[in-house]
Amino acid sequence: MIKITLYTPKGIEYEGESNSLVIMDQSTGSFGVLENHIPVISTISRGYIMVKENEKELYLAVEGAVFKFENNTASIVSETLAKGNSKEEAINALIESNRIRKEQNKERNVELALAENELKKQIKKTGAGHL
Amino acid sequence: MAEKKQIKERIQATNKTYQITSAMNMVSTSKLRRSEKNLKTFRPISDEIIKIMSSLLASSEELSHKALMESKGKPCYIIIASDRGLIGSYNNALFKFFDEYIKSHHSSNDEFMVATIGFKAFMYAKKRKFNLINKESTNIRDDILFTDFEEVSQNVLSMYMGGEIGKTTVFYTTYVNTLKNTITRDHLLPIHIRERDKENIYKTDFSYEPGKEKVLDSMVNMYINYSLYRILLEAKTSEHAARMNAMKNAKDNAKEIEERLTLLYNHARQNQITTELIDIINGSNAVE
Repeated sequence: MIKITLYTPKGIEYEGESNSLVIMDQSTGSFGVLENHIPVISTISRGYIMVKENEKELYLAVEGAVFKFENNTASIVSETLAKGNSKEEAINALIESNRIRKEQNKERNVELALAENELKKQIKKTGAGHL
Repeated sequence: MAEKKQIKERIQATNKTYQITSAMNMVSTSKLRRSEKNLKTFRPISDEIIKIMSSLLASSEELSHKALMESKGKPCYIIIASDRGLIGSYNNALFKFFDEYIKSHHSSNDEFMVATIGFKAFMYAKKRKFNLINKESTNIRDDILFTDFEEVSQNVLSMYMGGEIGKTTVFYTTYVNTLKNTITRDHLLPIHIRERDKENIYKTDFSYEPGKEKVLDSMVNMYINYSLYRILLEAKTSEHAARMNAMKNAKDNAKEIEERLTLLYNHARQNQITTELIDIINGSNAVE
């Protein structure tokens, strides 16, 4: 069995065991890893890692990730993670969460400017600076 | 009468300020704890990236990448400040430090490029009319993710590799303890692996898929992203510490002002009573 641990900046986000792994990067293609594979390091700009949990396929969509395999232990460090039961589902979830986040960030830009103005008004009201 | 009403209003406003600032103080304290934890969790992860990068570079002498070599472009500075104010001298101290650095190293704004992270840093750079790499503000949220700042890191990296910008330095505030923050200057590009990191490498002979050059290319990207993320976590932690202190001071001051205003209010009330009493006495004297 291959032991798998996936880290994101939040800490360990996935731990499991699998007979085989498929590592797929959207720009460079895929390769498989079986038990007793030679030590390997690979990077995934955007793609997924397929693991088999009790014969059920699970797709871990990752971005900016590095995959390291040694002594039947795989450790993956990724910027972010989205899980799915099919590759499309996992990758789409990843893209979608990125898109939502970016939209939120844009909204915050406007909100911030408004909040700043409101604050200035309030401070003036308190008559701060002179007693 | 009018004076009394004005003072009363000011007491109320000060009391509200006290309530807001003490709430913010408590929020910052808990956020600081969380931020410290995030930093602690992330350190081994970022060390792993450095270790893999060093191992890869040590595995072959022929490997080279533009990001590892000096570039002749203009120097680039990345300024990291906060999104919001109410933070004491956190931002201003950094901006002052940067101003002085620019003054001693450059004679005009055309000699360098600036990228910013944090709304305040963006506004500052715009005010100073620096040549900005990011046209919009890149914010630094409390729960910062890679997606938030990848635009800045990608732009900086591609401009560096294209020769448009040269040596890239990050200016930010690091967290020492709850009472002390220091301003730090870190080199981001060209990537320089420290001697002690060069020794701390994997002894296993790894094979690299799909090839060392391609892996190095992605690793460079990741190295920049992860380094910047670590810096941002540091900056965020010191921001919370700075806000915690600023809010504690504001809270104490509000309390003091409130007490003094109450005294002033009581004086005004007493004055009014005295005037009214005199009026009554004078009135009754006149009747007699």
